[in-house]
Amino acid sequence: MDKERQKKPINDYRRKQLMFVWGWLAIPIIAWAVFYWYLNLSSFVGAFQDRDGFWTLQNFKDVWVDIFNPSQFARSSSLAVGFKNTLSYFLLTICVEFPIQIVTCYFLYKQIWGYKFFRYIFYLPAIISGIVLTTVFQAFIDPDIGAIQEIVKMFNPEFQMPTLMGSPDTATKTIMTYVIWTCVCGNMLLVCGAMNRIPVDVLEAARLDGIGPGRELINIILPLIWPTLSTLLILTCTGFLSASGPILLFNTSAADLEITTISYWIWDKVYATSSTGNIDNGVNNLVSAAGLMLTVVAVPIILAIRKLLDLVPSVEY
Amino acid sequence: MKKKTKDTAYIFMEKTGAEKVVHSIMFVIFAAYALTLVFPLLWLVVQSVFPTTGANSYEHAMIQNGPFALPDGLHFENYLSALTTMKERNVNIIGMFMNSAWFILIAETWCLFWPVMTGYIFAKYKFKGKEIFYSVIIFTLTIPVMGTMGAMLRLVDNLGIYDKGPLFVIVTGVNGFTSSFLIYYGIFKGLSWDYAEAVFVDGGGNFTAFIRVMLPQAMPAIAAMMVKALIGYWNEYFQFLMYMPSTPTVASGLYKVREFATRAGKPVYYAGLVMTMIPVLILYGFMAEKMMKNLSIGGLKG
Repeated sequence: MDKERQKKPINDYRRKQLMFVWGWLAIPIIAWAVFYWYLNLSSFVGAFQDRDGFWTLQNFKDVWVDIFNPSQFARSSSLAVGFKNTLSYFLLTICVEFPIQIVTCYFLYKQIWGYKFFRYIFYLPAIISGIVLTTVFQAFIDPDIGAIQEIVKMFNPEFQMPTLMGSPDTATKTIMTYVIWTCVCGNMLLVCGAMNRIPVDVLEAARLDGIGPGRELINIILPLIWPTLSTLLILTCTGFLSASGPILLFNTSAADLEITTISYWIWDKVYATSSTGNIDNGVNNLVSAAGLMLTVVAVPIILAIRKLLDLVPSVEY
Repeated sequence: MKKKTKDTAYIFMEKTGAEKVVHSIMFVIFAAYALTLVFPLLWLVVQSVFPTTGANSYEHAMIQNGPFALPDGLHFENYLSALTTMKERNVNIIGMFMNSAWFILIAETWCLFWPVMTGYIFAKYKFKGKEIFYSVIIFTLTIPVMGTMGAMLRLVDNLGIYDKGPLFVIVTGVNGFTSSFLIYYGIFKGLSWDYAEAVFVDGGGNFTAFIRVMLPQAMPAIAAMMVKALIGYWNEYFQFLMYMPSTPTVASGLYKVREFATRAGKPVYYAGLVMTMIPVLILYGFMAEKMMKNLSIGGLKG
């Protein structure tokens, strides 16, 4: 025993370090245990229970019917539509928002004329409340007194603005347009920050080799900021089932069924009961079952995407 | 050092022929996009000073002259009206501002402290199980878990913090393992440990080293994160709608009083919206440069 102690002596310095470490980690670990692990466990168990706490698989059956046979399952909104729209928002983020953000940051980094002004203005949508922006956006697309209609009428007097948010065909596309309009600020700080850390010498060498802006962005900048980009991509993919536009902030009624996303569906279910002052375990358990089924589907996809992203070698500098 | 600054200016300022063409095109696109962002906000400010009644009221002006009509005068009484009459659960805009203020105060100190501390400890200290612990944290951050909202509602109700305002924020705010943990981990990982060693040699403890040496070094990046978080907190409405409905903030309150626009007139509602923009725009004006410069994120590999 004494020999063991002599082998691994914990001196005062180390003891104080460990006390510091575990002393400060204790509270966050407890909070993590409650608000992550217990919460997920509770949600998992709830998925297999009815509102009175009896074990059942009915929640999963209901979700299954809702996804694959929505017309036979009368609800305020369908998960099948929600899944389709969620996928659309996710693809919008990856295929449209990310490229726009990267290209914008590249030109801000390359100090395009007025770049300080643009940088300030482009970040405004992140600063200003979504309620303000959606209100203005809706006022502009108003079919009666909207500014967009007035502007288009200058070129085409016959133009009549459709009721974009009132029609199931155009409501989601309208929200997507809003998302694109305000997307530049998303990840702008991190992507611009990553570009600012690129050694200037590399760009100088590239300039001497005579490469143009396109190749500079694709062959030099992107590989050098890949650690930041891959992290952002992974975090985006991780939340792909939460992908959504600011549906809640748009005044929607007629197109409610068609604009729903998974996260909005969940919000709608839980909030509808909680706002009455009662916590309805039946609804909460149904939401948990839906969440569990979607998580089971999503996890392998996320892990595969992460593996794929890890295959891209990162550059040390 | 001087040479590097000169070189930096050269590579960015002297553009090649191809760059000049591309930059010119992008400048036009950027300018047009900037206009689409600024113009609607200025439009909102103009609409907020229209009279709500009479022959020159907002509704009349819109019908007669279209959305670009100008008011006959500056009716700032709309702002006073918005301040006193726009209410959610009997809380007016001043009350909503107060709720936003305490929420931001707690969130910016208490809630931000924990991921800073956990990020620092994981970046700078060795302890048993650290690698496994770190891997589990990364795993939890990269695995999408859906549908826990109902369970969360049940949990906060069981903990007795449902609709309890500050208590809810304090209890749920001890979250040291959010995605911002990764950012703080990256920040502290890049700092030298030598200064902390010097503190230990001088007889200082671990907390002293953190507060006096490591935190000040990381402060520019943390300040940028704080400003970014502050903007998020200012615009936060989800938590208040779901878990603290009796404590409307500016963001959640304005969402709830949208129908007010039809009752009291749009200019008054717009005046309320403009008021919510003013504090963040002022803060942003002062902090924009700092925010743009100091933010980076660590990779998820490893």
